Amino acid sequence: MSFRLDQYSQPLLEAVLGSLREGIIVIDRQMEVVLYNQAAVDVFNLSPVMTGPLRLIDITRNKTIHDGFRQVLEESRPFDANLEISGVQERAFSFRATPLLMPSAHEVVGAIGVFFDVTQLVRLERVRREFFANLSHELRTPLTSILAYVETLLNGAIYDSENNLQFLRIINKHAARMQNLVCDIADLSAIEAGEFRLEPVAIDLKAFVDNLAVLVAPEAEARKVRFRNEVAPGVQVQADPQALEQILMNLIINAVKFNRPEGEVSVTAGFEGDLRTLIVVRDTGVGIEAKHLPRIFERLYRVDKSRSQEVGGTGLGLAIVKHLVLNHGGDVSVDSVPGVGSEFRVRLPRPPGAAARAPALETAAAPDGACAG
Amino acid sequence: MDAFALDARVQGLRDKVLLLGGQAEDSLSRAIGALVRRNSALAEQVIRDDDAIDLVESELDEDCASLLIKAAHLSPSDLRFVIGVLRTTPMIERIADHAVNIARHALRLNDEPELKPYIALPRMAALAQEMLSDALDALTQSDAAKARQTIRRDDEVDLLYRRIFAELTAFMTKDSAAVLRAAELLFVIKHLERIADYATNICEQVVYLAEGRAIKHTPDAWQRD
Repeated sequence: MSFRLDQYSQPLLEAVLGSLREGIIVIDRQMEVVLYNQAAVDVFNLSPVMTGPLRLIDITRNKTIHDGFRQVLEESRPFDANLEISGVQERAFSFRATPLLMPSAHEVVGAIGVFFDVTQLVRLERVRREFFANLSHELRTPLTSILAYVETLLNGAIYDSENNLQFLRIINKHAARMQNLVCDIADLSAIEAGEFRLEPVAIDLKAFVDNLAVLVAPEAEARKVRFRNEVAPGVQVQADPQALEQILMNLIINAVKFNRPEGEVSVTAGFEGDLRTLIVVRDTGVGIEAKHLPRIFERLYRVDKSRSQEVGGTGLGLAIVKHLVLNHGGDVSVDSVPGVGSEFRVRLPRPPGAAARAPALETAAAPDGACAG
Repeated sequence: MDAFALDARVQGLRDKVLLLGGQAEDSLSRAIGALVRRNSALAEQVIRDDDAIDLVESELDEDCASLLIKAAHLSPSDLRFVIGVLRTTPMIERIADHAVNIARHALRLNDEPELKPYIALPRMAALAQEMLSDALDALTQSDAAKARQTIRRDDEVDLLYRRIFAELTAFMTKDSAAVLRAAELLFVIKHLERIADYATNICEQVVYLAEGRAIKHTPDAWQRD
């Protein structure tokens, strides 16, 4: 039995279906297409020349979809499947087909197929899985060392006056690394959950970066890297001081660590129109290959695992930077040339009606508690 | 040809042959994915799924035969379609076989270090995939113009085939450690070239179905539009 919509319900139905983001295809028992919406046209890349009556096979040659519809028609119960449809790019869909029952008929008159785009969800799920895999790796590495040294000490090395202090120092170093990681994770989840309350104030950048230079100095000297504050006087930014310190310290310390001896790190800044302030952190370091650039702001993403071990860090710094900047309504981007250096650009709000004269600097308070630094 | 003018049983036949085409497309795309992304699990899947494709081919054969026995009840366009299916099905099945072969080469290549780079192979693979997809679209829409356009692209595939062949053999002369892997890739490009040929043959059938004339072995295959 076939069926058609009457002249009034058709336009209404088409308007409703047209507004949906999910692709919808309705077929009758003969596998002829009764109805489909614009989203389905996009999903299946249907050409506009395909007019007139269509069969399901005219829309797709995907076997899972055909099998699903057929099962619904034959067994009159819903069918669910995950699909990958490659058009211009590979996309993932959650496909659900349900029987179409009409009050007037005593049998299933057709089937409704709904195609929900889960490409983004699948991607997020992959990121989540990788995050936990990386996280357990990052925690396990120092923990294994700590347990090994503790065991050695317990087995008598504690009385070995030549090595016992050295072992304790190693344990201390690894415990500190784990603590940093746990703190960064706590920070990051607070920032992501919006629990990190920002209190933006107008900040004079030149003085602010001068204060950071003091904190950067030990690391920079150890690595023979020159740090230059090239922020022009009078440039201001509207930001939470503690967050801004975290943003800039993360970028500057990275720039120092991934530099070369006798290299240079510079910070410049300027207004960008009436609404934004642009801060640029530039280095003369190892640079980042283009293929890594889209992913470096992901949590625990490592460009070079061996190098990361050597320079330390938790692998969460750039993710924290990204979220703090986004929470300010700003954005962060990066350009890099391998072997030449990288340039991180942070755009943050410019203080409303920022005066030409720089106001007195509020020094960023050092964060309290065990997680400071 | 309007699909709705066909006898219901012939319509079922049309669904089935196009679905078979879809399965061949899928096998090819997974086989190439197995090769390019070095995913051996995908290659094993392709090899496993081939039995199902062979089964559909035999079913289609029987369906056509049983329809032809009742030929008196079928219109000339129905009959022509059944003949078209009889000719097209083996081509699709062979395309799937070539995909399986590519998957087998991928399995062997994935056990070796990657031969860098795979040169223009991904482009040739994409072209063969597009030709297959366009041929099946042309068959779906009974679109002779699209079929003719697709036939013309076979020259591009042949050109790429000769270029990659030369590059791979040059690779072999230069680096004897690469000989085995380059040889595997020579087979892969041969399979791709054959797939493009079969896509061309399917297109010739589309023209036959749409216009009722055979263009095989004639310059008409690519001249008219």
